[in-house]
Amino acid sequence: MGTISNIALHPRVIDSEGRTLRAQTRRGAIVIMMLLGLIVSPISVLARVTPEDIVNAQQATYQKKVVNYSVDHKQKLEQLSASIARVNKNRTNELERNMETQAAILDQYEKRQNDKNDEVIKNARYWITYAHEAVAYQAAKIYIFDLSNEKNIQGDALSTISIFQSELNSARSKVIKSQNILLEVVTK
Amino acid sequence: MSWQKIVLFSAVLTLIFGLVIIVNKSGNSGIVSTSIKSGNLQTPSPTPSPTPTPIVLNENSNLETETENLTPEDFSNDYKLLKAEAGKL
Repeated sequence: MGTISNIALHPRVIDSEGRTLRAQTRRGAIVIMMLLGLIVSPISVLARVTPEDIVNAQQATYQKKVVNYSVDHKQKLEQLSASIARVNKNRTNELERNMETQAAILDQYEKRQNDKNDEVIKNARYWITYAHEAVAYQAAKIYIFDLSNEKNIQGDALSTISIFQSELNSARSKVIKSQNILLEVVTK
Repeated sequence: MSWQKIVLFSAVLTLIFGLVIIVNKSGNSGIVSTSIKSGNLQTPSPTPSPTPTPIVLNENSNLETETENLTPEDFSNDYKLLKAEAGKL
């Protein structure tokens, strides 16, 4: 049997199971490739797609499609996009102020309790934080029209508005839920 | 080529490949804006609404009333206006 140091001098060395060096190397290469695959895939996952990547991709797709639209339609789409962004900003600012006030009310209530009702306060604070984060998440959203073709421009625009409506209403519902929980706490 | 050299070479290749992917992804700079560029187009801007005065709370505040007053406005009219604007397309 050949040792590691002199295997190069004896290429037709055969191991105890009757395999040649070439066969051994081939088998080893297959094992290495499989191991490589196992190692590379987590690294690829680590370099995963970010929300910014998604927005950039949507923006690129939008620009590619809208370039063939009429000037009038392009202008109106831009104005509508600005309107959606403005409504989102105004309403999320309003909800943000609402959440800050809810937090302040809970702080005042906690001060008055002198370490009593700790669990109830903790629960209310959890829901206030949850709603607050939902509002912040909504405020950061960017709405880009998913265009199909110019003939369906109205449908595409209405579809985006529906998505916006659903998401903003969802944030609003969370604010109302935390308000109701807070009301239960302060009326005890 | 010996076993050790094959393993070492593969490990180095994997590291380099992985680093390239991670550095490439983290170096991305994207568009982060709330609206699409309008160029020379004039978008009508509404009169900005005044910022409401923050509520001051103290030991004499009625917390129940303050909480009840926090109910957010109904946003239905906003959506109606947006849909009307989309209808002009």
